[in-house]
Amino acid sequence: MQQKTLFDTAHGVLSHTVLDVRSVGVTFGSREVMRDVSFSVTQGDFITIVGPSGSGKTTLLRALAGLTTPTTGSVRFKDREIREPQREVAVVFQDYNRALLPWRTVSGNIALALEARRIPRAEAPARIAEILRRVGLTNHADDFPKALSGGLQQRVQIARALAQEPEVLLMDEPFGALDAMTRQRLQDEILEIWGSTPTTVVFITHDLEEAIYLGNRIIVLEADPGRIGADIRVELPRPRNQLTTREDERFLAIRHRLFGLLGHG
Amino acid sequence: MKLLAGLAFIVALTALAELLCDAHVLSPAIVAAPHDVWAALVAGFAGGELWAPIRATIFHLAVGWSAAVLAGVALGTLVGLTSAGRAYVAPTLEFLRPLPASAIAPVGLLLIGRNDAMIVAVIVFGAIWPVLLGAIHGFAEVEPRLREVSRTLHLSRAQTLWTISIPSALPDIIAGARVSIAIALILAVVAEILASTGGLGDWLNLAERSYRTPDLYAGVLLVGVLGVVTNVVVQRVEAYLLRWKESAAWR
Amino acid sequence: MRAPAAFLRAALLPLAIFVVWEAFARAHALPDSLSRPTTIFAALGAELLDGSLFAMTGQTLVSAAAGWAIGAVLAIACGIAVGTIPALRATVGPALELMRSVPPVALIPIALLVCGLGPKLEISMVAFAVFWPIIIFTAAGVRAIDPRVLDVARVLRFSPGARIVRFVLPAASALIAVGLRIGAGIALVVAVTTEIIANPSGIGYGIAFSATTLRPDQTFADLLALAVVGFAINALLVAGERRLFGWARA
Repeated sequence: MQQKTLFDTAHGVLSHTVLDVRSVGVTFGSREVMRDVSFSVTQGDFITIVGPSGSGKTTLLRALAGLTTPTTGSVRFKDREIREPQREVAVVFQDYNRALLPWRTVSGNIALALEARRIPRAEAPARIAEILRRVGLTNHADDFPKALSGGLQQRVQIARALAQEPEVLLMDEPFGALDAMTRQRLQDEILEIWGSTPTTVVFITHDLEEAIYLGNRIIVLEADPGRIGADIRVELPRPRNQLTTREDERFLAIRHRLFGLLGHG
Repeated sequence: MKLLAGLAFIVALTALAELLCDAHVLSPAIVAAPHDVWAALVAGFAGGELWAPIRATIFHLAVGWSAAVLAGVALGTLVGLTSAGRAYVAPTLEFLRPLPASAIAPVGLLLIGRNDAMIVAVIVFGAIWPVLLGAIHGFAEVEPRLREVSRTLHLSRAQTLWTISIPSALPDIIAGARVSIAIALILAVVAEILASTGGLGDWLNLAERSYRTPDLYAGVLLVGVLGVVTNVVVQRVEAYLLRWKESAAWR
Repeated sequence: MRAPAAFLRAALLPLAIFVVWEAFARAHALPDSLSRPTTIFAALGAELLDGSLFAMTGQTLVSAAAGWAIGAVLAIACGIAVGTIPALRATVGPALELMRSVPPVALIPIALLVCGLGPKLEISMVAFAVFWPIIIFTAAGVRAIDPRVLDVARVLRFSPGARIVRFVLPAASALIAVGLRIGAGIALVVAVTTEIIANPSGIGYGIAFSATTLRPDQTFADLLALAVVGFAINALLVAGERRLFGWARA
């Protein structure tokens, strides 16, 4: 159970609670994957969820996405119970090569989100061009996914998610399959995207440092079964910097704490 | 280089056949000398007798094969994308798959008679299988992650079908279409032989009956050419439609 | 139990078709050419009882099998030669690809001139038809052999003949098996097609004869029998390949 400070409660009352997870438990067959997980997400938050394998991170994200229904408890999006994917919630999957349409170009993949929203065909090119510019894919507009590197493909998925103009962006270990340099670049890019829109981000990762670097709040999951181990506020200055932020003593303090909780670095 | 060697081989074989025919080693009642076959081809095209059968067969092929492809995709969509279809209809289709398609031809003769409709119907009934089964298989193999993407994006059922299911199944459908055109050609010839109403099959049959070996071999050659040409055409279309499948430029 | 339930579900559609067909036939006068399920099954039963079905099936299967065996032996021998000698591969390769695209049915009239009517016609047609896929697969199988395997054979001083039997054939056997299976499928089809067009024996001829003599019940009965035979052979081939060559699958 999370420790809610008075500040949090007041904060929650004053700003929007956009996601509310209430005593969620998930059991697949005889395996209890998740037990009694509760927390709220305030609009504009960047929440990172970190935990070892077996802690149900992906299951939790899928419950938030409406792709899996919890066995017990409920997930609410703005007071609506989530049983189906919500239009205002966009998902970025880890396996970008399976989540993109290989038969459409980069522009075509982004257009898919616009087609789903029934945006008139005439408006689409301008919107797509704008999104391409924001994620730095303008030069690859007419490439097919197979011709792109992993980092670029993941950017296409992010671009498609942005085309949904979502209120909440769910990301399931999106940079896990990428090399360290690409990962750092995309971390900064996602922070910039988050900073320039009123989007709330829920970001799953197994990388402790990534969790601290990105979020303003870290939810730590323990494994077997998955449940909340800690809920940590991250009071690091923004904008974050790959060099200075990671050397900040507050960063290191949190890192020590996470290491203690999770036993790996 | 390889192509030259191959061509040289074929030329050599033809020359050998010519020699053997001239030396009367091969009976002209069975093997026509290459120069006679050539003469028959020239005469047939110049005099116009070959045009009608060629046009008829191409017509049968075009109508029959396209109908087979369209029907195969449509039925494949119904069967492949509904769990009811997969459970109740697919097994019967699997049972009928190994049935030799040419067996349909006499049945067509019985039910429809000796006319163009029978020939086209036989082609459709035989050539639909590879496309139908390809479509069913293709729809069964749609990437599950993409189904989830269609849910999170809130694509309608029609949109999911058009933007995800069909393009995903397209490689299997086109592979089926390629096998299908080969079957269509075989069935066209068989049906035309049975119907005796025209086409290259009828030409072959008549030439054989009257021992006109040069005409016979000329006809066989044309059927072979038709087979190669249709195969190449479908392959080109396939390459264009599946151009997104190129291997990665760099990874 | 899963298997019977799935079988019942699978049988539902054909049963439904038969029932509707029968009901429709009894209620309205169908054209002579269509017949009805009960008469068709009666004709099938009669053919089974008087042995004619077995005779026809036997003729077709024997011709198909003989043609397949002859074609396979020739094709494997030539395929090994083509696969091992690059010069041969280059010269003969394009011709092979060309011959493969010629539909065997177009050659039946020529075969008719050469062989006349009778089993020889069917067997040679089948042999000719299965030759091309089997030789191509054999050559591919030989080409795919890890060169180190052949080096081992040479180092151990095996004669060329022994090398082929003990090393080349087993190593290429997985692809050769695929070719043989495709060939077997083609064998049945070509045999039946030859019977429909030319040769007066076998199930194909039975179907064609029943059709031209306007016996729809017999036509459909023979068609059904052929479907069962085709299905059974295909099932046997798939099962056989899996058991014999399961080790070759990655």
